[in-house]
Amino acid sequence: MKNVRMLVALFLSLTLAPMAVAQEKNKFDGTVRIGGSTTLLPVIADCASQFMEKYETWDKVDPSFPKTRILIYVTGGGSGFGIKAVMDGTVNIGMSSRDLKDAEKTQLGPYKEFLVSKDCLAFAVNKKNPLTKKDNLTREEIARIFSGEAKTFKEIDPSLPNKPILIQMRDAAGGSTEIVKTMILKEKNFSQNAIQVPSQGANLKKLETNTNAIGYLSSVIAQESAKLKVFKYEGVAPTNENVINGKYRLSRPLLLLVNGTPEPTWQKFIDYVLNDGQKIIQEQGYVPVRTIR
Amino acid sequence: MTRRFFSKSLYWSDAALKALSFLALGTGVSFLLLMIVFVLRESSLGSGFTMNLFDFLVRDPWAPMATPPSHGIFHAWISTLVITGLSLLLAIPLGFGIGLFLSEVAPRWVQQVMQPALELLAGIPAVVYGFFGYVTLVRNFEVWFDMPAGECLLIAGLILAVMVLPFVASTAAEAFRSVAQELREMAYGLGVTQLYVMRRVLFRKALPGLFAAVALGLARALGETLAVLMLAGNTVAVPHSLLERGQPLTALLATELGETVVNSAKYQALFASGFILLIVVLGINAVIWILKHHFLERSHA
Repeated sequence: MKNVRMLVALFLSLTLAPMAVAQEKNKFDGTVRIGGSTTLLPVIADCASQFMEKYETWDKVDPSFPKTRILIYVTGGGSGFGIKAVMDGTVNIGMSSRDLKDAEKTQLGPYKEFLVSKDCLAFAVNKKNPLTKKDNLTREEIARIFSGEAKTFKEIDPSLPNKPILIQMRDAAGGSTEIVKTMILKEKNFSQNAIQVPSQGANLKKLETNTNAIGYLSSVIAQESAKLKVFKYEGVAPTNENVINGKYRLSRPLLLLVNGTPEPTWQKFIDYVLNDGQKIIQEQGYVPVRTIR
Repeated sequence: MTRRFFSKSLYWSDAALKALSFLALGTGVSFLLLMIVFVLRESSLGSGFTMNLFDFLVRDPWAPMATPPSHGIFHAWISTLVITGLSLLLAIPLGFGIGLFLSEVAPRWVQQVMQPALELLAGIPAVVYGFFGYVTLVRNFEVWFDMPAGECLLIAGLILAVMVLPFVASTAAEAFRSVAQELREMAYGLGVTQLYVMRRVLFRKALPGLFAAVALGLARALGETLAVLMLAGNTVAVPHSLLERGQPLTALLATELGETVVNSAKYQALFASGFILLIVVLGINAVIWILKHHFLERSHA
């Protein structure tokens, strides 16, 4: 008997409570929801936790805000999800590790994007890979490897063994793959035999264990690994300095997106990422945007 | 007259509980329906799907970066078919054997150890299985078969069989156990061997339950994503042998969907393949359900 009443009460509270919350729309909202690119996720999550630790309540950010607790939720999902979620209003701020497509721009209508950082892309292999004999890869060599035209190491350099090259690519829609396609492969297509690695971590792991594989990833992540050799591209080393001075061309933008104009609270957080947050971005190895001309 | 002993309020609570139960049931079922509708809508298969269905399923390659892009899923459903088939081929006989052993042969203490062990196996997250396969089989395959990369359909099928096995085995054991004890005793009374009882009595009587075991295993195998994503190689070329890499439907979705432009042709193709997966799972479940009832009627007749 008691159980039944409790059950009913529980049921009602579960169904009615969300409705009640939904009605408080015009009130000041102390929460900011952020979602999208998994490349940006660790950076923005760090910024969010530091922001919340530093200010705790909104009135300390700006005296015109009420004394409401700051709550910032950061979730992943990928750039495509981030952009869609901004459109739908599922998140307030979207994260993207690629420029928006024209179709997305028209769907989104008026929006604002904030360039937060750049990610420098590098080609890397295991230190036991035959290709380590070379120090530099040209655009043409990479294009021949990734399109499948050169299937063995020998076809790249006659002094190398006649073993098949294993190509690792990130999923097709990710920002990094798009750069490789538009800037290196151009009219050529990716080989059908490439392994599609679903995450940066899996990409690194595979390169660290497989001596036949070549892949592309964030140059910081590649350089941190003792087991990998990072190549120069067209004679330029993939360093943050070279991205900043424009010599190294393979980089992708890391963006924050807002549908329409940002609420004052969102803007405050974006400002934080663009200023204090740049230190975190530098610590995590990405290129701080304030230094990019 | 037990009714008189209930107070009026209890009737109320009965009615409320009944209503709540129905509501819960309705919510559950409507989730399934809504999901189908949602997937169908996002895929625009009803109208506005930009591809010819034959091109989509059979002819075109998966090359979303090409100009013009093409989004055929032949490689994916072939991979799904091969991996799922292989895993069930291994898991069903083994699972039925384990079930038979647990319910008929094993001494009590073995049952008491094995049953929780199977449940434990069923509860291990897919990523652990995937990682296990990655550090054991994938590395060794590279050495044994001199492959540039060890990932292949065979490994994915093998590991998937291990993942499916506990579901099949424990459901099968349950099915065998639920066969009436009198039937066994009657058969033994006629002087037949244990093997004969298993073959001619238990298997027939437990058939509906065994179908459920297969259905459970199949659903698990078809829907499994992470382990096959890690082990099958995730390559869009159409596989020609078990030692080649492939990309099952679930892995295709997991790889591509996150970054895809919403409502683009690729997005539609991905949702369409999700819809196909959904339909296949529902279809197979329906067939098994029909078969089960068919056999149930026959065994009662």
